[in-house]
Amino acid sequence: MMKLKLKSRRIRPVEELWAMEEKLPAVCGPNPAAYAARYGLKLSKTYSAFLRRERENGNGAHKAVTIRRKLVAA
Amino acid sequence: MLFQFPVIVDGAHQEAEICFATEREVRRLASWRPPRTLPEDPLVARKLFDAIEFARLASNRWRYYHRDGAAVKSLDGLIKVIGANPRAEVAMVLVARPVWHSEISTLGIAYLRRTWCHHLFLEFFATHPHVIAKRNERIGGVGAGILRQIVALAETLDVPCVWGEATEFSAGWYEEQLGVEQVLDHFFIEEAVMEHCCNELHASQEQMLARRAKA
Repeated sequence: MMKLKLKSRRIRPVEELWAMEEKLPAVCGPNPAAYAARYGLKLSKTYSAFLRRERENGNGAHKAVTIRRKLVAA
Repeated sequence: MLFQFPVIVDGAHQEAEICFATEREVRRLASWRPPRTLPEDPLVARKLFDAIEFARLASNRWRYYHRDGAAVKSLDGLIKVIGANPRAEVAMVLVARPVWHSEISTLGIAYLRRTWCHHLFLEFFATHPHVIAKRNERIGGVGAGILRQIVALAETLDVPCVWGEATEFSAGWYEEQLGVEQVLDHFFIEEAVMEHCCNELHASQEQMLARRAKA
């Protein structure tokens, strides 16, 4: 067990703590897939589909559907 | 338990509250959805889906403990369980809600366990996808607030140690929030770090009360 060492004992104002919010990963904990595997839980279909889409096109957005009319020779 | 903490909304100070989730609230976590249009930034998109998945997993895990009679829905309930069995291991979900009128009903959640030796294990915490996406309101300070309120819970229960896992993405944030030199794959908030967190928590609460008195 590694003991944490304080950098300084200065009491920081709450505004200083808020300034770090951009760095918050939004989810603090293990990776959801690792967590689910650890406790024998199933990942949701939505999340699994997101991971698949993320591998394919970066941000995991659904592919844009374009409807093109087939040109038929007159 | 109903602790209030300051947050910043569109540049203005507001207050949020944190409390133990009821069974109904825990069930509702499974219905978190992403915004209709996903952000271009792949990292933000990833955060959104991770938060949604964690909310669902927290809901699952809590209900699993609840079926076994090992989940608590209030601070009184937790104190009662510890009183009856000092070595009891119980799960709890803390929910942060806005005190101001907002379209977002839940700002974030934390899933914790009180371990047999009276420590708090922070399994994970997540902010709501709409807080991450920053579409209607830009809400800041939710992460810092939740972490400080967990310390407040530890202080109330006289818990000597809060611990959890850190990933490559969260380690840096924990380092800065806790004001410590280095966090690797785990962190222990105890002794001097716990005392320092409590001091910062008290300072922010005093600041919030002073602002309330001025208004």
